[in-house]
Amino acid sequence: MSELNGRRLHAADLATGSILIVLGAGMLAASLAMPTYADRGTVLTAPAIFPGFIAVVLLLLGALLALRTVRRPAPASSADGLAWRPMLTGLGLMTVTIALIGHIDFRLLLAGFCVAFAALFVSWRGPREEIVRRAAAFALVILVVAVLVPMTFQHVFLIRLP
Amino acid sequence: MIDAFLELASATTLFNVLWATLGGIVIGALPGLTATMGLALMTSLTYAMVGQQAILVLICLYIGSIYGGSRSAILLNIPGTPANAATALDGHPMARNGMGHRALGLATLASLTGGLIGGVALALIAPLLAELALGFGSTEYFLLGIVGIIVAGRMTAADDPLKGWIAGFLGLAIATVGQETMHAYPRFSYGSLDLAAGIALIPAMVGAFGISELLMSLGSGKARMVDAPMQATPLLSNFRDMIRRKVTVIRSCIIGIAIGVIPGVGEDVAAWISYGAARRASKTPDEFTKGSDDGLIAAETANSAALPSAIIPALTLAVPGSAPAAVLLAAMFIHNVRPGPMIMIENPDFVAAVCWMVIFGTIAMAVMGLALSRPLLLVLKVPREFLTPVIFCLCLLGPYALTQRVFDIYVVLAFGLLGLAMRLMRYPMAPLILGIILGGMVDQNLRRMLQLIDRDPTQVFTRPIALVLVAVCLAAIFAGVRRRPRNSQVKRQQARKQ
Amino acid sequence: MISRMIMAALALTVSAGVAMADWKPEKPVTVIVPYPPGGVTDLAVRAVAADLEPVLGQKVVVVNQPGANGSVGTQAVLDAPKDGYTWLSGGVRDIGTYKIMGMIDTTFDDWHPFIIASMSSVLSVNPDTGIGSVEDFIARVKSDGDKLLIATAGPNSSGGQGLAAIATAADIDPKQIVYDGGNPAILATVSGEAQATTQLALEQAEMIRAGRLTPLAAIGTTEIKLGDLSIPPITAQLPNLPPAENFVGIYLPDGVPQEVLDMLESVWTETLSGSDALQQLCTSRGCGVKPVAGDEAMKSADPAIAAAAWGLYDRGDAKMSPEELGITRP
Repeated sequence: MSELNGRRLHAADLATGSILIVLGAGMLAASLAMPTYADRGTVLTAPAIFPGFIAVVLLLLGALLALRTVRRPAPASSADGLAWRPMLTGLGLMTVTIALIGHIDFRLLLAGFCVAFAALFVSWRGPREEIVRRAAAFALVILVVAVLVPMTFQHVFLIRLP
Repeated sequence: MIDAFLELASATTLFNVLWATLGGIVIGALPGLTATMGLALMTSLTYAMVGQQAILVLICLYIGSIYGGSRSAILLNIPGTPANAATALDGHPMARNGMGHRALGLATLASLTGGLIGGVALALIAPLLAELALGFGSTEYFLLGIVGIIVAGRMTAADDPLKGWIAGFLGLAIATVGQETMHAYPRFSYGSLDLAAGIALIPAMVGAFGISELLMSLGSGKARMVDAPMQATPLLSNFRDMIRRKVTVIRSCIIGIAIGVIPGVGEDVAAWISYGAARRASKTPDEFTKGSDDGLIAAETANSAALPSAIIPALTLAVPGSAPAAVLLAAMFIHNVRPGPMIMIENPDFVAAVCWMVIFGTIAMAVMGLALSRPLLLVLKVPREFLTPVIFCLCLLGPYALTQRVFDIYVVLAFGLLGLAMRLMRYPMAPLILGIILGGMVDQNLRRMLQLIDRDPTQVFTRPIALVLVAVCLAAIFAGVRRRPRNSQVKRQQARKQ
Repeated sequence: MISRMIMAALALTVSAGVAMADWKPEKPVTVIVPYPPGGVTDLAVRAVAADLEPVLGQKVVVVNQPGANGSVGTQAVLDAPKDGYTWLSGGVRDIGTYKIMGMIDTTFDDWHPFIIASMSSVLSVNPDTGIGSVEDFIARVKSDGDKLLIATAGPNSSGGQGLAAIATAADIDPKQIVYDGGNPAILATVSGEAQATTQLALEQAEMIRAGRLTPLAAIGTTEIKLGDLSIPPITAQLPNLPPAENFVGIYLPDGVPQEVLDMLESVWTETLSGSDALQQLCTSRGCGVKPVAGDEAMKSADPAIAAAAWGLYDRGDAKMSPEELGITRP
């Protein structure tokens, strides 16, 4: 399975519990600093009521999670078999693409994403015919992503692309 | 009723039903494109049509897209619309086990049943239901929102409800960002106009389900969605399965209709409550989230039954029951239909016509959906490298098309990241999204409830619906505490290792 | 020879003049509605979009870009290229007060208004309350205080501003309860959770016709007609009511090509007056068709903006005095 488990999950739960406690406390503090608009007749409509309520619940849930994790012994090892590298590479590629939106024409950007994705994730080894077939399939993907889909949005849905 | 049928039955109608429903299925099935977007765009494109045909197109598109969302939920684990999040829970595991064809078929029959029964309910008891919905005051809305979060949190993470609730309340916390309506005070915005506008639901959903799924699949290192050999399932066997689950079907229809008719609460909440109820009633609750027939049927029947029901308040109170129904309501005004309490007196034919539209759309959806099942299954065989760029592109363009804000694309990425982290740590995604959906409702109704209680404290004890909701809420929490989560988790891990 | 040259020059000028007024869009025009679909602005804009299409010879695409009381969509139009293809819509009171509210840096002078319709609020009560007149209402507010809740969509919504106007004119302190939109506020009044509402006539129309709400008065100086029913103005009882109506329209930002403005100005009044959809919307739901553009639109908008701005300032919601923007106290 590809989720965290064992030792790593134990550590992650402890960290999340602590983060939630901090988040809840921070949210509570921010809520207390909000104006109450009591001069408009009642404090019962103050904007802080709901975030304050959520903050307390998050604080409690975080504390429960942390407490529960501490009370259980940490497993000796973890076996999650996650392929971190492709996942983080993919994430990096997506982030760069999204950061460039608005600076480069959208179609070019999507085509660039596809090419980079192909270079990083598609295996280009094997017999010659296999490579030609993969390249053809990828050309089709680029056509769909960079030409057909944006064209549909632009001319059928009448959306202006960034 | 019959007059309305005769008036509507024509070749033009048939043609419009077919293309609109098909268009809806495609929009719903493509990750990133949603029913609300499809309807908003189509409203502009149908100005020039005759009034009744324009409404017909919109209703069929609506039905098609809520159904289409179940396709991507089952095949890709990316719910096409928020209403299909519960469908993915059991539908996708089925597909992974090689039962994709069966899951698609069952979901289609469930949607067909829900849609038809919902349509009949619309015809028979629309005005009555709308009156009952008026009994839903601020207190009830608040409690319904909390029940929705707690039920979804508990149902999606059965062996660890704590994580489900954390996800749900995190969603509510995200919903507090932005300007609130009572005093126009910008909460947690730090001077940013984009934050003051709040985090929009659709980009958050597309990121949390879509982008995180893409990243998870890169991390899983598998070349294809499904390694197990795929089995074909004849339609007849789907029918038999449905009949075997008749109790679930009937319960889900009732829940779907009841939730759908409440103004402002739509298909998504209906699917969750129904899913939760099915699990509660099930003799084999452990099968849920691992490919349970009951779970899949409960979710899809309820969201389809809620859809016609969400049109009821739009027609008889001029208040939409869901976001897509809001667009539908606007289209009705444009085409000179005047929904409101007078419609049953002044224009009963129109209400009858809407029922027929729902029924036509539902039938067209089922026929085309079944025909499309086999070609759609091929998606599972496409290598991930080819699928990923296409889905990524749709996940960026879809949310952007809705409001044309670049900020929303950043939201997609941010929620992709949050979704990835949450998934890695075994948090369910659906309560997070439901929290964002319900946040505004819970917030305002909580403060209104306080105001009303302040004015008249006795009303706490005089509201039967509210007391029932409180009971449901407590039952869901304490049933969760009593179970020993440690044991079941250990068991599951052992089962996986084998 | 000379006369021919003069003729040619004249012809050129004339054709240039015609070309100026004859802006023809080459691609679809986008109208941003900075509110969710189904609201008042959305309805009015969608009603006229269909009638503008044949005049422009292009599709008019309505995009809902809600958030932060409309300021997000407004900012988006300010940020878009000023080529005349991105239009804003909304109420003049909202656009005129963004800067005073400290939300975005724009005033009404930055826009070329094309007004579609005027919107007025109606003071209505739930029939079970037994309130039958404006005097009754004022007396009940004074005697019941907290027991009489008035539903609005927020202090800055048309309902909230209408209520504030009544409160000022009658010197009462009504208790407001806020809902997340006009429709939920009206529904709460019908169901009895709230006892009265001051939302727009357009939003209340069907409930009034069905007898689920009793209209007491139009919050303004003129009567409102809902089909056959006419609602008298509240100024009969409260003569010193501040202006409370709002105008919904389409706005082009400063900096768009002059020919776009000229073209729209030349067709606006005629196209909108001939719009059946708009006429139908207004006569059945109690708004007034008001197809004016340019200076005339500015003239209608100014008192409404001044009333809204000073109202905000007096309630303590404003981040700056309207005086600083040259808006004088009415």
